[in-house]
Amino acid sequence: MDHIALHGITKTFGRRKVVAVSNVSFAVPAGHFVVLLGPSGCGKSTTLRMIAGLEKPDRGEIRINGEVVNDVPPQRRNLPFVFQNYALYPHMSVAENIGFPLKMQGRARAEIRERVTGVARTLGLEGLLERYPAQLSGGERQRVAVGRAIVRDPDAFLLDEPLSNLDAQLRADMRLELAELQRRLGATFIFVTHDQVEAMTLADTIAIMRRGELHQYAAPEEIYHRPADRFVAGFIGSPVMNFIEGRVGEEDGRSVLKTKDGAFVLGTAGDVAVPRDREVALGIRPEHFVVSSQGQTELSVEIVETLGSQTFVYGSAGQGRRLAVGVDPALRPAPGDRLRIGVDPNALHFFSPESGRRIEDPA
Amino acid sequence: MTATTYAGSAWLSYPVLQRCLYTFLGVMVMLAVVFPFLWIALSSFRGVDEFFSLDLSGAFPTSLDLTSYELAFGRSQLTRWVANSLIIASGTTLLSLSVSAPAAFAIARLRFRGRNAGAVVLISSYAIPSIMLAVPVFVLLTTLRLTNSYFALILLHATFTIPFTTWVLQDFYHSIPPDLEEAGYIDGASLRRVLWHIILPLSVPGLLAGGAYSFILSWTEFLFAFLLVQSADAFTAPVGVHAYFTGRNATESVMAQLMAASVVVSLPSVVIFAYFQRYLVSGFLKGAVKG
Repeated sequence: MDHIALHGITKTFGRRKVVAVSNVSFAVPAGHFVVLLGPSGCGKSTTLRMIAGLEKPDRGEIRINGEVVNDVPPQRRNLPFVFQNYALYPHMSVAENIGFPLKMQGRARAEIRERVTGVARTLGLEGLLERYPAQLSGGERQRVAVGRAIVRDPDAFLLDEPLSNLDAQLRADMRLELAELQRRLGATFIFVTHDQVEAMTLADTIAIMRRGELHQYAAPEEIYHRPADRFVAGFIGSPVMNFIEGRVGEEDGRSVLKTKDGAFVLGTAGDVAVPRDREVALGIRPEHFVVSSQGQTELSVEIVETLGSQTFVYGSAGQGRRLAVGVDPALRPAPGDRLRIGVDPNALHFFSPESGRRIEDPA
Repeated sequence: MTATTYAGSAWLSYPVLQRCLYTFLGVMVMLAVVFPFLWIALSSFRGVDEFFSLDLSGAFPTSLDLTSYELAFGRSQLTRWVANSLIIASGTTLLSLSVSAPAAFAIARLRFRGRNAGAVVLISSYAIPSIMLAVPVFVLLTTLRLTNSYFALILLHATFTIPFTTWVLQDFYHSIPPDLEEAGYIDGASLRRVLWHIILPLSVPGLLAGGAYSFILSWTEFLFAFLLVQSADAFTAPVGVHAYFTGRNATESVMAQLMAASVVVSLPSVVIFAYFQRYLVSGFLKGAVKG
């Protein structure tokens, strides 16, 4: 059975009824790691807050273990929530912070002490139990916030951008620790972030949102390889996917995309599955270009970005069409170079220029 | 701009002069304000005989002569009046905080109809000068047979302090991140327990500021205490001092006792202010800047 499920959830704010979340539905199986991903203001945090019970949906149903919980207050949902700024109680020690949920449950002092010690050991906080939040580093605070969540041994966790206040190195470490923690606890995690790397690495399933709407709900590979629409395609991947608008046709036995200012060669006709005789927006990820002497398109390199394991070049491929292209670092391209590039015919994405939706099954 | 220009140059630079000028002005203002109090305190220790001495060399008492205090306490009911004032000021503080803390929380955090209007009415009650209320309040409390009672003054003083403490506190609550409150709900606490375990401990500085303000206002309040209390047993300290020492011949002994009594009466305000000063300043500033 689905652990947590949303059915047609809509939430508006204020007298003007500004829509924060619009008709969102998805189901989270027990033990799944779901990441809500999107730019700021996309409604991902509001969605998480509605699951926690901190906001009430205007329409739709939220179910936990099959039961509608729309009117159940957060106190009775038993869903720990890790806040972006951790929301540690500044007047309580680390031990008191972690033990607070148990205290609210009316557990005996000895039991609270025992479980707090256990959690502290798990999270490497043993030496810090008597400290106060103000005396902790960002990473330690984050751990305490997680400790306060896991101490009551729940079967689901809600996390609202828990890593965004940490520096890059710590963020990467904590990301691994969270993944490890989720695996060990076997609990359901719902995690909000605007960082696609966090989403891709942590999630079993990504819910990608924009302007209150759910654009795609799928596994990371699916999101990357078969983005549901142009927004998802552009949001996932770095540098962002190249888009070229035009009409697919044939020229000298080759499939080409005819654009306003020329033709962009896709490959040998028949090799490439293309939607015929309609306007499309072609999407190609920078890493799916192939640099070879057989390449049909010439790119004049303007900017080179060296990342070590990868190199990206930015340049124009005739008539001001700018492309980002991933190349082998061994090639050592330099501004001013001219590269011949082709495309991987299996990695082409076609979107409707009007709706932005993916054009399924071309050919 | 100027700072970098003058940094490291001659110490007779513009910023230095400016700072000297400000310090000088500050000291002058402070002297003007403090001098009467200082004079009262010095006079109270000078003893009865030298009280009217015009010899300025005797302005600073050479030894602590506590005769004035002995006389003030011995001949008047000063102890009783101070006790009355303590009871009334403490009562006012308690009543004021126990009403304004939850009220301020409601204004700051809860959503209900008339919230903004209520807050405005509350603070605008400050615009009415208390002398305008004197006669109606007197009639009201006489009808209720509440004159000469602690309760009447506590109630009355609290009506003056509650709007202000509520205002200071609601602004204080605004500075507590709502996440902490929500974290409390998430951790299984009811609204009541969130208030008790989270909001209340975090509002201690605000409560201290509001409490100190209420206490000092009640302690020093004269007009209503003077109007409503007729029996000498029930006088508050300021009224008692006023009633006992005015209308007598201003002999050296009486004046010296008056100085001693004044020191005793102003001491609590000074102590409270000195101790809670940082809370008062931060509490009031918050109200001033964001309110």
